[in-house]
Amino acid sequence: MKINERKIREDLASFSVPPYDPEKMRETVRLAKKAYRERQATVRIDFWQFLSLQFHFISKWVWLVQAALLCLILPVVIRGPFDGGRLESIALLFSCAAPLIAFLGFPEILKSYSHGMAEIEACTRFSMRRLMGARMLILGLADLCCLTVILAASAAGSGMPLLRMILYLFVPFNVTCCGCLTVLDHVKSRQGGYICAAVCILCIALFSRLSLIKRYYEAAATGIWAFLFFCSLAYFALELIRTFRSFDSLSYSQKETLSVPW
Amino acid sequence: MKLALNHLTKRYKDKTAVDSLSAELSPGIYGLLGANGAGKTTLMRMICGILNPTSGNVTLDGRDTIKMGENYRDLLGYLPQDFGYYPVFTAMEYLLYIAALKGLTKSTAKVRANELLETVSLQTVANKKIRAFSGGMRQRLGIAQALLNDPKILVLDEPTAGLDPKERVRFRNLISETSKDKIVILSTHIVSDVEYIADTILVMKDGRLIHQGRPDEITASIKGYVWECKVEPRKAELLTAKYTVSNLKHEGNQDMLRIVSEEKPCENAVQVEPTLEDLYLYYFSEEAARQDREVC
Repeated sequence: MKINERKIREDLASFSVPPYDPEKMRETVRLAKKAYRERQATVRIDFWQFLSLQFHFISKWVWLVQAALLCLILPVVIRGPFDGGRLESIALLFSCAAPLIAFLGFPEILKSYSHGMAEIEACTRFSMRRLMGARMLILGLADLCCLTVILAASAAGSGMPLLRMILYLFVPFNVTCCGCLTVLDHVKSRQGGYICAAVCILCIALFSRLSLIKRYYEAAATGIWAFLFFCSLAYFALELIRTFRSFDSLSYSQKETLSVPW
Repeated sequence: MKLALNHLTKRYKDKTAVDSLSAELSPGIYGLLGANGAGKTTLMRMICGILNPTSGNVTLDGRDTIKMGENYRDLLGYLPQDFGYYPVFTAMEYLLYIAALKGLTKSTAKVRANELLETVSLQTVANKKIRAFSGGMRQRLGIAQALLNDPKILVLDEPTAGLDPKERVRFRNLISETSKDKIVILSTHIVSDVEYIADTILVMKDGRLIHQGRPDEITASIKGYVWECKVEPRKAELLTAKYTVSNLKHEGNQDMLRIVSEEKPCENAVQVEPTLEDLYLYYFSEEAARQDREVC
């Protein structure tokens, strides 16, 4: 063993690097780097990595406006004015805030169509459906976070039952989403964004008007609100599926169907 | 690699945009020539899979490209005729965005984006917003995005629109350099764009492929139909009204005309070698006149 070890040591000590052409060595390094890059270029990201990348491509304005909206709403819901059980105030606040939060994401979802990017996006690895799905998921989760924060603050601030608060907040939100999704399903262009804005204003007007009628917000009306909530939720889910499927369509001069499979 | 178009047909309610078109494409550059409304864009959209054909299909090495789904789109680079951009994006952000859609990893996307910005001479404005770009710069950015994933099938619809002559020459060189082992299909109205770089010219008319071949082969089909003659200006006016004139040049008190016609247009006319532009005029002068009338 010791002899072997000594021999190995001697051999290693006497070893000298054989002469080589430095130019060829550089060429080998260059080709190795090239091969590595080519190999890397064939690697593709999965949907979750795609989703995280899409998060960075959502317009900063969406987050800024959403944050500004929260900054405006939170002080009101935390500090009042809910004195003397002023139900109308919270109902009015929810009637304005929920449709606005629902609307905010739609121009962002529509931007592929309003900016003429749909054709390029449709023939990439992640098809239109997956791109739209990613955007809707990110924006939907952000909306849900906003609504949860508002709900938590309102419940703490007003002391009203949480269930009723959920209904008062989510019915206007769902109805606005239903309206905007229906628009998105049928109008895939810049005009779609304007129509969504009109839907949002209409919902604000409608629910603000309702909030002024006290009896609609009393405990006795909870059943009707629950009914509205489930109806709007069912339509929301249905329209979501329909809209999602419609992302296979590009609006050329005639209605055309994209053949990009999910 | 073989891309086969099998009896591709696209019908609208009252119009057939592409009519039972069949072709087999192997690596090389294909120039798609045709007048407006010939069906070029519809054909390209069907090749890219963003339009469903009414009948027929596109296969890649025998596999249906629709069934191949993302595996096919992975091989694809596409520049549409009219494409938009997100104005708030910089050139670099735009390329990184498209790279993400094409599934490239972050590190590869950065390397490719930098390489391509340099290739299309936009590296100095990489961090400038696209809304500040000129039409030519946007077109170059569009070309760069199509090349991001090193596509094996590159479909370019009017890629040279908005490019100045110098940029067009640079584009031609870029396509020639990058076309090795790729199927490049480019449609254009500018005949000279494809004349020098295309291995095969596909001529489309009314949704059909009326000619397919090497530039010299297909120009040979109108051999004997191109004439040159020197006439007085008054006679030149008459000839211009009667025939398709591909060129008119004043030479002293006479006009030199280049005429595309099956019959000899005047006594002193001599036959000359046809070019691709003559071929285009031979097949599409009627369409051009019709479009002019429609505009009027």
